[in-house]
Parts: sequence; structure tokens; C-alpha cells
Amino acid sequence: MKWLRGHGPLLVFIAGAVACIAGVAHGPIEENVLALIPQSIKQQVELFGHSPLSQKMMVVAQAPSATQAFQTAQQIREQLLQEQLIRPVGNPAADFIPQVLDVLPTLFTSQDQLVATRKLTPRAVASQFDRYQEGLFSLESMFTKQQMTQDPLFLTEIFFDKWKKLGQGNTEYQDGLLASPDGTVQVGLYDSTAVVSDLTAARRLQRWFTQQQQRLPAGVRVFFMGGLRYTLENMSVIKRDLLLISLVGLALLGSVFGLFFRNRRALLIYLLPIGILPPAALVTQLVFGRISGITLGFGSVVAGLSVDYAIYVYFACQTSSVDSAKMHSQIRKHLWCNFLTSALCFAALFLSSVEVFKQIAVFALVALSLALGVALKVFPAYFRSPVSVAPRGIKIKPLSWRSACSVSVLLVVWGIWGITHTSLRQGLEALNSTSSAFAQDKKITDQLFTADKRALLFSLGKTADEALVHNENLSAVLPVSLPVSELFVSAKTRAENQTRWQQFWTPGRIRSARQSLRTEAVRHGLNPAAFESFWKRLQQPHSPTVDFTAWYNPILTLTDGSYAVMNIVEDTPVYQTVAQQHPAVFVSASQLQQKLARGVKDEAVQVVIWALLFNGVAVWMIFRNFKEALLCFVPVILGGCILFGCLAFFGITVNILGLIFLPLLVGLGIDYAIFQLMKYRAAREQLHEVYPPQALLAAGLSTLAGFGVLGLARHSVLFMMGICALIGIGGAVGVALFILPAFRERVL
Amino acid sequence: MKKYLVGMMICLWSYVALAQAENLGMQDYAMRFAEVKTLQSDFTEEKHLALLNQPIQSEGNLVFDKQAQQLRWQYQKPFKNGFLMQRNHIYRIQDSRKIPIQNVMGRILAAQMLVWLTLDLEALQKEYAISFEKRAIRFTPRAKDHKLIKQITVWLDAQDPRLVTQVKMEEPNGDFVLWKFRHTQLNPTLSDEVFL
Repeated sequence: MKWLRGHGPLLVFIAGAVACIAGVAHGPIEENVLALIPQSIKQQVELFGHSPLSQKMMVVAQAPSATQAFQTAQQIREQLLQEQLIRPVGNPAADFIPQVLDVLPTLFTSQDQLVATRKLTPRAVASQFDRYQEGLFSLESMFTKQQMTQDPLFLTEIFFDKWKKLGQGNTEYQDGLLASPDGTVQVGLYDSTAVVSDLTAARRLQRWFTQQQQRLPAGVRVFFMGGLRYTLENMSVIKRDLLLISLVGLALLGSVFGLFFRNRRALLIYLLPIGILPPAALVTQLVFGRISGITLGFGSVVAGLSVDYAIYVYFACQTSSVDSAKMHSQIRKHLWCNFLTSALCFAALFLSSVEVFKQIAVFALVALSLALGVALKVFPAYFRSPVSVAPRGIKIKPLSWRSACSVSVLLVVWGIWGITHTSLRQGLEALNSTSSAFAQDKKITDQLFTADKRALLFSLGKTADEALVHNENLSAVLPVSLPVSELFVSAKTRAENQTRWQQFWTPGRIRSARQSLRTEAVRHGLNPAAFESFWKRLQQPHSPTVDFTAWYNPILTLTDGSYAVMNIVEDTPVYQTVAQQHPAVFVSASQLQQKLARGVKDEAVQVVIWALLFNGVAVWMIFRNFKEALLCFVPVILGGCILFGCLAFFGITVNILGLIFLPLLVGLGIDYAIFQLMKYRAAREQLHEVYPPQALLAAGLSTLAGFGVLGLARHSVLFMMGICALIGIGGAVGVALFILPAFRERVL
Repeated sequence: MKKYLVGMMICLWSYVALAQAENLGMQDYAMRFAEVKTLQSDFTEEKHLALLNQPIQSEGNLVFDKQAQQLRWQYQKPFKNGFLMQRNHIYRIQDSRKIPIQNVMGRILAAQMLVWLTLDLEALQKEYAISFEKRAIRFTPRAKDHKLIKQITVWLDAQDPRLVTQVKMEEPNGDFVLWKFRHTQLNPTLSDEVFL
């Protein structure tokens, strides 16, 4: 009981952590690219996400022969439908041509009127029947026969020409399948029954495809692509990374422990992250309703930071020559300063509009608050007792003023060269991390889709009809009309087209067309009665029953309840100019890429400025001395120079989201400077023993072990954070230990 | 009771025996058709369509190399057209020109021809119920309301059952197409030029 009372706070802390782990495991962990997008371009990325391909699940069948690929694709489609993994798509029925004839009046433009007039001339009818005749003598006579009885004048060609313009590039789209030129790759475009960010659904689908693959003969492959595959890939990569990072991180932390501590009680230092990270993750999950894998991956960074607090307390507690109360007061003040600078950096990060950045800010703020509380309230009781192995004394000899100046100048030059030579990886693809198997699969599907070179033009409206009207207006001012505006028409245009159709079929025109048909029937030995159903339907059209939106739906409902009509257009400036003059949005992949890079850069600059401002104020409040406040930024600036120089030198392409590291470098660099400057201040009160150099080294190495190990990650964002930490923090620690003391001696 | 049991046993035995006989027939045919490696034949094609006042007839010839997966189906009268299949590449022959067929329907049609020409019974069995008669094989689509085909009957030569003499394809509306094959040569040596 006494033991329980003695260790009460620690036990409560451990129990809380265990409960939080259970809570996080039951909550949603999501990997959504939209969470990584700045608010300024989120709407465009959201609209771009409505591109027909990005919304679809692509099921790819690859086989040695076209027939085998086609049959496999069809078989997989049937099974996917049976398992309700995709939504059913309406296929053209045998009475498809009559159904198109029913729709034709609603789409009958003045241009179509001219085409129809040409089709009705006796010469055109004769020419059409010659083609039919030859078709009847070919193997495809079954289809020719159907077409010539249902639409002998081939009026439906007007509709099919409009539909063709919607096209999907160079690929062929028939029977619901896209095919490569040799037919050995067949791709079905389907609507999945699951949302793209649903990880469980993505896993279920992956299992299903693995089972199907096992049943297929050698040489035949099936796989799926699209949003669900990206979700799965990102999460798989992050999970693998988390395991690797945790194991290597633990091993490295063990080495730091062996080097600086080697006693049982000091183990608590490294148990601290296990206690603080689960509650921080749970709070983040509750605040945002979900937590990103990247935020969880960032746990190792926070672990490194939080361990610093415990290390400083540990080394301070080992001093024997300093009065305990004074030591406590000094270390409390120091930890609060450290917390303040780090917390301000994360507060600056919270001001970003990128959701993942906000998540990381909340996650880190909660974790660091808990770490500070535990380091100050729980740990001193454990660290005050005499330890079995005394901490190793390490002597560090700072550089002389002249050497420090020379090195600093070199580092600044190195940094400027680095900034001008560092290449940036831009684009949405940079936000995803995928395996080599995925890259192979993507290469196969990319051969079929060249849509990336195209752009999307959205006409907006409060109602679907208003959006359609705006789309027609937009089409009217463009040099080439928008194919969608000819197939998906507003109520007003539909009524006008129907009137035009009725006026077109005058009794005289019908009589003349009938005569032409009779002539051709006699000429080709056909039974004129076979065309009666066509004439009947032409004069008494049925209400259109076929729903073309089941195959292609350009009308989108947006999250705010408004509507957009989507057009696929060439990526040329004319569309952008017209869109600016209408209620429309133009989005192209290239433009979006530039905007994304600019958006993230702006965010990073903004967050860095905020972090510098906040920390500038904080260090001024701490030291109340302009020179000391300025010195705090030396490790930050020189650490940044080392980082950019190395990135350029080693040819590391910077992922735009790696820029998130910059504000953290500000916070951490300032922390190390505070440690050194406070140490000199404490020396005046004979308290410098509270700041042994090994404390700074152990803290720096622990942070590197936690943070730098992310450099082993395959996820591009985590890798970037890790590599930046390894170089940036390593550099900042070095500057704080070897250069800053020389500056401080000279300046103060 | 005993009588019923004996009766049931006889019925069951008869059913099993018939099923075995059917399988034997199919295996036998499959083995015979497998012997055909190359093929050359002339054909006439008769179309009996409700649309036409009179049936129409066309004539042509075909050459087929099973191993090389090459087929040339050539109409000579009244129009000179047809198609050529060379592994995964399908062409329409129009006025002696080879025009690649891009659409899936064309490719599937040609692939179906390949299945029929080789009389790949195993592949056909998936889509059709197959019944064997004295000199004919009848294929009925397994799909109940097949929109295009009601039944396909293949007649075999009395002397050499590897030779197909006639094929009749009936549609649900009563239309039908009849192909008659003559001068058929099995496993002739084919030069590459015939597929150019």
C-alpha cells in the first residue's frame, strides 16, 4: 500500500497511457491527401478530385492475349458486382438505338438540323444503304441488320458523334472496358462502394484481388488502381516505417543510454514518450475526428523533444554541489523556457491551413505539456536518489573567436549556395508514398491514360440546371464548343431542341424520306415493312428512358450544396481566361502543381515568420537582453545553412512538405542556445553544474535518435523530416556547443 | 418397395451411363479436332433474314493456322472483303487493304471465330450446352434469354468427323445464317503469303 502511495502519480500516468492506446486504436486513422493541402487551393484540388478517372476504381486485367485479357476483365467485373464491391453500371441493351432515337429530339441543335438535312437527300440515303448492303454480306451482319431496321437513316450518328467527342484520349472505350492498342491490357472503370479514404475497405479489396489472382492461370494478372490503392499504399508504407523507425529508434536511444546514463532509474527518461504519446494522439483524434498516419509518425519527433526535458532534470539532479531548492528553481525556469520556445513553434504551425500541420501542432503541444508536467512533478523524486553509476563527465572545447567567425562565414556561404541549388519535388504525387509494385502497376495503367495533359473546366451554379445554363453560355463564347454542353443540356435548351425537332419533320420531309427508303429497299431487295417501327417512333417519340449519366456523369454536387458541370479540356490559356469571366473554375494538373508548391512554400514561410516572431518575443522576455536574444538565433541560422548546403550537395530532392521542418529547426535551435546562454548566466550564481555539456549532448543525440531515424522512412514526408532533422538538428547542436560560446564570450 | 428401389437404381445407373457416354463423346471429338493443325476451305454463306425479300448468298475461302494463330476469312463474292487475324492483331480486309480493327467487338468476333474453327469444346462448354447427335453437334446458349443466338448446329462429315460440312446459326427472331464448307483440306502446308 505504501509502495502504491509512493508511486501513485507514476501508476496513474501509466494506466492513463494504456487507456489512451486502446482509445486511439479504436478511432479512425486516415491517410487523405486533402489533409495535406493548403486551404488556398483546397477547393481546386477537391474539384480536380472529381475528374472521372480520379473518382473511379480502375480494375486492370493483363494477359498474353487480347481475348484472355477481355474475358478476365469481364469475369472480374461480374464477381466484383456479385460481391457488391462496385456499383452496377447500365450496359447498352438490344433496344439501345431506339432509346437514342428518343433522346435525339432533346439534343437537336441548329447545327444538327443541317446534318440531318444532308442525311435525308436521296443520294445520302443511297450511299448509306450501299454501306448497309456490304455490311449485310460481312461477318458483322448481325449488328448491321439491327441498325438498319431500327435507324435506317442513321440519324443516331448525330448522337454518337457528340458522344465520341467526350472521348478518353487515344484509348478505346467499349463494352465498359478501356483497352490498350493490342488489347492485352483491359481496364474497367467502376464506382467503388467504399469511399477512397476507407482503409478497411481498401484492405478488404486487396485481399479479394489476391485471392482472385491465385485462381488465374500463369501470365494473367489482375489488380486495382485509384484512390483506394493510394490509401492502402500510403498506410502500408507508414506502418512499415513506424515499425522500422520504432525499432531503430529504440536501439539508438539504447546506445545514448549506454553512453550517458547506464542506471535503472534513468530508464524512466526513455519511458516518458510511451506515457505521453498515446494521450496526445487521443486528444488529436478527438479534436479533428481522425488522426493522420503522418501525425503518428511525427510521434518520434515529439518523443525526442520530450526526452530532452527528462534529461535536463536528470543531469541537474545529479549535481551534488548545488543546493537542491536552487537547482530545482533553476531547472524549472530552464524547462519552462524550453517548453515556451517549442510550444510557440507548434503554435505557429497551428496557424497553417494544412490540416496535418494543425494535427501535428495539437499532438505536439499536448505531448510536450504532459512531458513538462511529468519531468517537473514526477521524475525529480526518482532522480534525486543516488545513482549507481555517475554520469560521465565530458569536456567540450569551444572554438576560438577567430575560428568561430571563419567557420560561420563558410557555413553562411555553404547555406546560400545550398538554397540556390536545392531542388524541390512538387505536385500531388509528392504527397503520396508508394511501393515498387505499385509503381509497376501504375506504369501499366499510365500507358492507357494521357488525361494528365488535360485540364478540367467547371461551370458552377446554385442548381444543376443553373450550372448547365452557365456551361452552355461558356461553350458559346469558346472557339470550340464544349462536348458536354451538347449532351447534357439545360431545361430551356432541351425545350428549344424539341421544338426544333418537331418543326424539322414537316409532312413534306417525311414523305420525301419515306420515298427514298422505299427506293433503296427495292434496289437492295429489302422488305419495306421492316422500317415501319422506325417511322412510328420518329413521329411519336417515347419519353427518353435511357440514363446516360450512368455511364458518364459530368454534373457534380459540391460539399456546399451547389453544383458544377465538369468539362475535360486542353490545358491552354484560353479556357483559363474564359473561366475568369464566367462563374467557372479552370483547373489543370500543371497549374495545380505550381499552385500547390507555391501554397506550401507560402505556408512554410508564413509559419517560419510566425515562429521567429513568437520566439523572438519569448527569448527577449527570458533574457531581457537584446544581444542574448539575438545570439539565440545563431544555432538556428547556421543549422539551417548546414541543412540546405548538405541537401544540395548530396542531391536530395526536397519534398515540399519537408518544409514543415523549418519552424521546428527554429524552436530546437533556440532551445540549445537557451541551454548554453542560461548555463553562462547560472555560472554567475554558481549554478553552472546544473548545465553539464553532456546534458546538451545527450539531449541532442536523443532527439536525433528519435527524429533523425525518420530518415530511414520510405514515406517521402517522414523521410524528409528525418533527413532534415539529422542534418539540421545535428548542425544546430554542433553550433550551440562549438560556435555559440565564442560569440557569447566576445559579444557579452 | 423393393420394386421402387430396383427401379430407382436402374434409373440412376442409366443416367450415370448416359452422362459417361456424353463425356466420352466429347472427349473423343475434342481429341479428333485437336489433330487439326492447319485448315483450308471454300465456303458459301446464306443469310435468311426477315429484312430481306430473298436470302442472300456470299462466297469465299478461309485459311487457318492453329499454332501460329493466324486466320484469313476472305469473301470473294459479291464483295471482296473479310478479315485477317494474326495473333493479337486483327485487320479488316477492304479492297485488298489491311485496316487494323481497334474495337473490342471486332476482336471478340474474330476470337470467337478462332474458338469455333478449332471447335474448342472445352471453351465452348462454358457458354453453351453441347449435345451430340449422329453427325451433328448442337450448341445451345446457357444464358436463358440470349439476345443474339438461339442455337448453333455444326454438321460433320460422315467419312471424316474432323471435317465440318455445315454450320447453322439461328437467331431468336427466326433469322438464320448457314455456312457450307467444301474442298476442305486438313493439315495442308500453308505458305506465309496466304496471311499477308
